[in-house]
Amino acid sequence: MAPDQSEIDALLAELNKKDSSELDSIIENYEEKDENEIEDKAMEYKGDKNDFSSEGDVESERLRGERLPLKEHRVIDRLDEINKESEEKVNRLFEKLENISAEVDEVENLIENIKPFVNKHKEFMDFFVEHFPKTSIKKNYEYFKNIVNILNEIEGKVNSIRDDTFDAMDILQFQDITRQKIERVISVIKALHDYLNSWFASDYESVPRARVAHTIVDEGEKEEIDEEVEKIIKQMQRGEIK
Amino acid sequence: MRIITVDDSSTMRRIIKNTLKRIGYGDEILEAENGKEALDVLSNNEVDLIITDWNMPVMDGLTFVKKVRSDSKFDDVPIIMVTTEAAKEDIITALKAGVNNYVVKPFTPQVLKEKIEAVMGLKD
Ligand SMILES: [Mg+2]
Repeated sequence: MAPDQSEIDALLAELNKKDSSELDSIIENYEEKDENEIEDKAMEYKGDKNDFSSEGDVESERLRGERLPLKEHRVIDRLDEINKESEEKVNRLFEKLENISAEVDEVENLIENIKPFVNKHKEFMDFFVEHFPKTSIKKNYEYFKNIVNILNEIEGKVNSIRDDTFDAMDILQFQDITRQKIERVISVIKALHDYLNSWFASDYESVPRARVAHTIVDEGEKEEIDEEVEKIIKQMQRGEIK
Repeated sequence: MRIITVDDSSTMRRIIKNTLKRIGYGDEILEAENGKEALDVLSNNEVDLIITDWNMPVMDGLTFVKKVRSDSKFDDVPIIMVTTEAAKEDIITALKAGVNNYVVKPFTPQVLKEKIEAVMGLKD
């Protein structure tokens, strides 16, 4: 809570009462105490660097630049790791989708295998019911027609699962695109790193990297871009671009 | 038909391989992580089609295409570039270097199929 005006006035009056030499000694005492405190703190830190009483000490050392960041805090390494990790996970996801797709193919094969028998049987029943309309199997015939319908429905579902699986596979291209976006960020950090390093003349261990993407197409403009590409290829083929 | 797919992203190589199978070109697919590796593969294998990325470490796709085109052994192998690069100058640069067709990522199987048919002369 801020002091009210009367407190401030009282404090000023108190100060004005003291003569200047008294004031100087107050200030001197205060400065001495402050310096001693700082020195004590510094001695504490210079003690055993590996023996930290608390995590706060480590953090404050790091912030003052006395301690290098841990490997897991190095930005480029971290971003590379994120890229690698996401690539691994996406590959595993892709593997799962390939498994689903293979199993869907198996289900389709099974359906294909039983379909001729079912169809043959239906033909027979069609014939039978047509020639013996009063037959007692009429009810069975209705059931059977339903089985054929269900089988067709399962076949439809199998196809839509396959389409969705393929669509999901296509979408996973995002991984490479996102990776290249992160590579762009890395290139900026690397440029800053190299610039600063050139002042301190340190070595930089360089990992071979891909050229950084100039353009990464926004999903919304994809169709337009595809048309543009097609146009340029045609122009090139007609010799219109020299 | 034997096809080589060159891309530094293992995900992309997987997707391209899978797409090729889906569109009926999955008989034989070779793989390489960059242009240099692809040249090694090509020195031991003949291919009917090259599908290459542009941005790769060690040797990028453009350098790779130029190397392929300067070798009389491969100078007529069709090349399709599949890349994120979509600037007009880049597309022209790639085409001038010897790329026959160009696909911007992300692509659909339909687009890849059409481009393959176009470069293989399978389209009317
Ligand atoms: Mg790449």
